[in-house]
Amino acid sequence: MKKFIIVTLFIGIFSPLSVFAAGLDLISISTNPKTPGPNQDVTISMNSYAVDLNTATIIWFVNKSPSKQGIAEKTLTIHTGDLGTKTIVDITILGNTGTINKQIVIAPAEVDILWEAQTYTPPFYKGKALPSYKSLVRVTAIPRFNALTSDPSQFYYKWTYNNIQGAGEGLGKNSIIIPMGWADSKVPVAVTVNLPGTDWSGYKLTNIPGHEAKLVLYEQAPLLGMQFDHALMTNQTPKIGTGNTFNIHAVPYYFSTDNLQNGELVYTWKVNRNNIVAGLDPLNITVTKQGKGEESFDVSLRAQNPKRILQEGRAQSSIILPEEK
Amino acid sequence: MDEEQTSSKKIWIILGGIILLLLIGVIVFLLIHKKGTDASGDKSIGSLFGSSGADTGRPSPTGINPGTQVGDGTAGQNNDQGEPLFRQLANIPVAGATAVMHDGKTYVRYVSRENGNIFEVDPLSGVTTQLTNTTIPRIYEAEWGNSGNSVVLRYLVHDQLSRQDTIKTYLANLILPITQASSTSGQSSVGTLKGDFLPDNISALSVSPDGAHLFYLLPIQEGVSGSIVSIATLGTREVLRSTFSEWLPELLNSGLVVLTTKPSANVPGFSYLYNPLNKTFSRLVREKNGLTTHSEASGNRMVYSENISGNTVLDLYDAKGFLNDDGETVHTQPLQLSTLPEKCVWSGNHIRLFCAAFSAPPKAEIPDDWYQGALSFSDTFWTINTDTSEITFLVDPSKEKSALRSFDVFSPFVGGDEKHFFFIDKNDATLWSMHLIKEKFTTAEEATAVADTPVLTAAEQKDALGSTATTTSKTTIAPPPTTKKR
Repeated sequence: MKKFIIVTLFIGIFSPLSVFAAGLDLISISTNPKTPGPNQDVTISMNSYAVDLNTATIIWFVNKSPSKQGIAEKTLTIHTGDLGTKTIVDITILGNTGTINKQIVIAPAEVDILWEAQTYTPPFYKGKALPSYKSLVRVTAIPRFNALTSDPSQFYYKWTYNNIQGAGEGLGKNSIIIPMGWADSKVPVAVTVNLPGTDWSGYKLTNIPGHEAKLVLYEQAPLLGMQFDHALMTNQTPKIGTGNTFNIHAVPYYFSTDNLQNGELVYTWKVNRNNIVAGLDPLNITVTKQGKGEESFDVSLRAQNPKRILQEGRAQSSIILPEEK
Repeated sequence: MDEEQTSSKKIWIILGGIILLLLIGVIVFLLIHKKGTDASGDKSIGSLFGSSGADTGRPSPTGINPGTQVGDGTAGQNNDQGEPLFRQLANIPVAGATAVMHDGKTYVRYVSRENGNIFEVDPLSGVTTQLTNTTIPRIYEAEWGNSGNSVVLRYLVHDQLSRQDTIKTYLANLILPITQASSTSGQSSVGTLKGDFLPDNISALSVSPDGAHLFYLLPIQEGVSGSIVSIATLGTREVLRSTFSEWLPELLNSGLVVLTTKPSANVPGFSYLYNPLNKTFSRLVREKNGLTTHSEASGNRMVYSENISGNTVLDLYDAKGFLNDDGETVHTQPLQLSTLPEKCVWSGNHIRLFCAAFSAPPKAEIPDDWYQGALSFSDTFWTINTDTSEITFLVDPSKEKSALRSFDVFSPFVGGDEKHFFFIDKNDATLWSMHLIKEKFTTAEEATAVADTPVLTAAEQKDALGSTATTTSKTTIAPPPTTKKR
């Protein structure tokens, strides 16, 4: 009886997978995809510099049932099961140097990486806050070795970002905070998840795309409040107001929340090309008609974050206050 | 003499008893009318939801009639009674609306965005009645529960000094005067709102389809906490702690919660079914760009949209799954309609969907641009049988004489009789109804309707919801949601 050394092969780039290979390393076994998911076709291949596989008889068993047999049958395609289902593949190689047995266990697992940028969106906004230049992003892993997720505090997490930089590891550390780079670049973040005391392991890589911060102007109506459903757009026909005044509110989408809360953003309002000093709240201005006739106002705003200098946005709109009747 | 004294004693005892009863009556009356708080935030004494369940009565029409009928009522595709296909139910901005049933008819209750007043309109006649006059200005969101007798009003309070906005969430009962009383007095009386505030800065909120509970998310230091509240008793139970906070929740009748990540056009989204009992997330849909979802009441089916190469595609998730051409069970399938789930409403049979659909302009980032008010749609109306994927075109409102305008539909709902598709037009926040002419689409699926089967036992539901769950049926755990990528 030959002694088998249990070797755990760690395979994983896209979707995590645990593979356990048994046998001497005379023969290397690989899978395509490297990290099969549940209910997926997987091709298992073997290579060897020590054994002539082209003349060897190779017998494949899937979950103890014979699957394929023949000379130089070096590959096998199988279909993985649902999450939590292991597929055990036994391989017997009858070569001129004797018999070699190998085993791999494919245990499809998934890790989801969720991330949220620490950037601003207004109240009641149902969309996602997007990461902008040098903003911080909180990344959370949700591991799943079965149909249901388990208590995240039971797992050991090891994080990297930008491919090489360690971002922390530890039992229950299912969340990290990383900095973004340029607005148009992506930051790769990867996590390896292990369940201590078991061979279960998962891996996930995701790319977090950077975005430009943006400014959007809205009407702040006296009776209805902020008109979030209707942005005041540059390319639209001028907004026709009522009465003698029109209140405009700016929303600095995707600017870093810490700088925003600390009042560190710099705003430059212009009305009809003249600089305007905003009141106590720099996100609001009011344009007021001077006479009784129709008056139009070209309003523009530039916002810049001096702490993250490339976080900036511009917006403009035209307002018409009609003639009094 | 003795007889006289005895009889005098009896009189005094009877009089004393009457006075005592009157005093008790007055005290009870005063106590009842002192309960609850008004919108100014005064704290209440005792239960705030004594009037849950059946409506206590409605005031008669007051003459305040924000609803108007568009068109002459005979044009377009009228039904046998000459009802116009489209009818404007309120020409004022509306924060939220719901359908209620009483006197054997469907009515629509809605909240004025401007002042928080609540109105009720008959969708067949357009006649509107003001129900409450409690003023809360600038309501951004209104959700309904308790058969339309409770409302959750959400609004902002801005602090000029700190430049911070605070989201206020007021959960109130409609205290309505009895119709008879008002009519005999010759005065039209209007009810009020009485309730209490939920915590400040609730980031997201969902009322269960049966209106009995709500689920809210509250930002905390380490992420977000989620709580379930009984609308009848205000009993609150924290059921979730998550380091990830950008969830959009949808509370199901069973007490399970669909949690979907907030969407962006080019960011993969995830949707999970959260079980408050064992604190587990079972995955429903994963890694779909721009993912938004809308589940039917039982959670067995969910419609979702994703952004594929700039196109908004509607898909269906089914917990039981479908057999594909290879005989394998898959859990998702495309529906040949371009729209967002926010523009769809499930029929009570859990099979049929009523949707407004759009053609998106090129380069639009959906749903981001739509949420930001930078993009408006011109919708057409459709219905889908999700058993067969059969899609039926209903109407293009821009070609209907009873509308002759375009709609950007959101917050759609149907009444119990499903004779109308109600919606708010995002263009001006006005409330509309579209008459559903059932002859235009098959109703065969009603015979094979999926039962509204909760995935938890009655006891588990009670546990999950914290209190006052009333569902009693027992079913098995839902099948493992192992969605296949298409």
